[in-house]
Amino acid sequence: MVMDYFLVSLLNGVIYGLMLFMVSSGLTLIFGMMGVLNFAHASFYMIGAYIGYLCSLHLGFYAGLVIAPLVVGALGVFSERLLLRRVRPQGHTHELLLTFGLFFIFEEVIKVFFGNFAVPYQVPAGLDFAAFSVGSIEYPFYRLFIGVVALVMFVAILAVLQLTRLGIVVRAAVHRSDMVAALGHNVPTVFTALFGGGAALAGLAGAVAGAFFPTSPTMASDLGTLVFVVVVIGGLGSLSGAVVGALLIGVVTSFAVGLNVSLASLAASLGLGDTLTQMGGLFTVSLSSLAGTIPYLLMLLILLLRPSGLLGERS
Amino acid sequence: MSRVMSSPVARYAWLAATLLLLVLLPLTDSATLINVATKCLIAGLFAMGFNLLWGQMGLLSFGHAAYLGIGTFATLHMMNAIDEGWGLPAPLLPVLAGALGVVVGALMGWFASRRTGIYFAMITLAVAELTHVIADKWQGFFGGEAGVRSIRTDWWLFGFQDATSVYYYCLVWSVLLVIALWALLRSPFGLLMYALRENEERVRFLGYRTHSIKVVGFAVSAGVSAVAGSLMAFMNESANASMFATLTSAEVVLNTVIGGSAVFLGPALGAAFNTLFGYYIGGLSHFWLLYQGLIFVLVIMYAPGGLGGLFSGATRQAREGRLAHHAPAYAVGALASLLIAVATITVVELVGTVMGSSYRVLRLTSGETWPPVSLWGIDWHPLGIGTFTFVLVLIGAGTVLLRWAMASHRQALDRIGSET
Repeated sequence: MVMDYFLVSLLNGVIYGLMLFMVSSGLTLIFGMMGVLNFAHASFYMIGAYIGYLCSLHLGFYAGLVIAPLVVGALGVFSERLLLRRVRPQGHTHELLLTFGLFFIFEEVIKVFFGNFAVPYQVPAGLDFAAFSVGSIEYPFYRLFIGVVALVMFVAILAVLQLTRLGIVVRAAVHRSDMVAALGHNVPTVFTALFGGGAALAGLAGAVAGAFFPTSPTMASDLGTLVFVVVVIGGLGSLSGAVVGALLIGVVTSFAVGLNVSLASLAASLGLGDTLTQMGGLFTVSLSSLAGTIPYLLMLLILLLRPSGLLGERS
Repeated sequence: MSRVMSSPVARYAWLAATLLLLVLLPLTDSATLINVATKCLIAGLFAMGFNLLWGQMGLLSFGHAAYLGIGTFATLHMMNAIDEGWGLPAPLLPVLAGALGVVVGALMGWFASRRTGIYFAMITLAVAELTHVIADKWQGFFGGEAGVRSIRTDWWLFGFQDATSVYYYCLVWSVLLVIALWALLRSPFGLLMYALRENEERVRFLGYRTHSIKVVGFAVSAGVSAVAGSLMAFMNESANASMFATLTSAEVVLNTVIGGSAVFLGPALGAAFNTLFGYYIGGLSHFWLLYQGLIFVLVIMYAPGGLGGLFSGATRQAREGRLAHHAPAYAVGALASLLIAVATITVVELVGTVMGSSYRVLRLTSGETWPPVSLWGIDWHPLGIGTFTFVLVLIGAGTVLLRWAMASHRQALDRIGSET
């Protein structure tokens, strides 16, 4: 039983982590290149899910997997070219605040079209079956599908960044954008492309994950802070850091949700249980309901001890 | 602190008029207006506290909901204690809540101020999210979904059972704290905070311990926020953990930016604007948050100084006798904005209605494919030529006028530039 639970939690965690990586990868590269933390990035994930939903109604689920990233990528390019670029001369804070405003607008526009509640975006029948069973737990195939899509994207991102000329320019621009510009590359255009690419990835993640997890207007704010945690833990601007951060957060949250112990019951093994149970308060709250604190605790620790993140450059 | 040095008479005339208006407001005897005004005061005080960090020191906090909430829940528990016979004068509740805010703020500020820029913002965000999760789960103190309830107790000659007395209670505290903030910003310490924002390294070279300055600034900011929270508890007599949500922290950022962080009372202006907007427009339209978001983005892009910046800019031009040069551009610009706003609102409201569930029912019952939607007393056909023409004409005319206004404004500026 314990082993089954362990296996399923691990698999869930890794797959959730891979999905987090799809959203975080664009965010961390954008920050590395322009020093802007894009608050609206998780909104691209949400919009991707809604476009996937629309496509699943009219064109079929798989069409959505192609159309969602295209549309969301175009939206990213539009936001960067027409909006972000105009406030860039006023500094990073204004860009940050602008993305903050976009985050609000995207959520509200979605509400105008689809209402305040979740829409029934569902896993297509062809993918809705149990892949295998671990003990008594039947493991849904669709989770594996999410994992496979994320893995393919992961390999594709790495291949583009490591093997192509564009990838070299992007990586160089993340480190020293002024130098890359001096070498004659059009850094603003590269940045627009990166912004659009990152948005498209987040949109794809939304279209894939939205069918499994609830698709609602709050999914951007729910995921948004978690994605920040991932990129901060990994190191802002570091792609490999985002991989580590995403997997770490995915696995940690997946395990913590299943832990049904409280601080008091932990202390009971030390013979202090009764005292703490009487004190009540936080000590009797089960750890699973405090699972939500773990990512933020990790993030605080990283920010205080090693602000450049696990794999980021020391600044 | 106001970067715009206006003549003292003009400035104090505005202030005195505003204060007089606030003092006389309960004469309207409208309970809703008094309630909304109280909310404006509280949101304004919160934004003023927040802006001590952002406007003065350039530190952007995304977690001020935590300090507001600490003030609220501390006050609710103290109010319950008073109700059970604890001899604490009700008017002093904000002092204790504020003191708690200062202590917690100093602690959190000590951690957060070790980093700057985006890392500072991320620490405040993490602290606020932590507080939110804990507040959600810790039912004993934060009361779970039901929240914590309490009641106001009268003290000495003061009764606090009607909206007017609560309003004056909040007004007195807000005015006192705003004066205190003004004094703080004009003090040598306030100038140090400002210097820190401009060039921290130089301040350090001058021998100041910059980290300590930031911690004190953070503590005062959290303290003022906690007082705002305390007033909120006093007004509502209840609260639940949802006030710790990111939205509360986001709202104060929105209020401050829309009001203008570089003008001393800008944040309070923005908070009052958004509170009134939420109350009156929120009653008219489901989509008021979208309009608020659009206003925020427009302010960021076209009026980075916020409403306060626009206001102080216009008064300065009036004083220098230049307002006449700009007046045509301003008038045309306002008209253009109005046209574009009407077009935008029409589109949003029509789309929102057409996509809504009650319209789906209407389509089934009326038998029409696209039954008309009533807005502003006119029946609009969702896909009709008239609707599209109306929207396109307004946007087209608005854009042309706006471009003219901007060009004319630039010319006026150039002319003044060449004259001087």
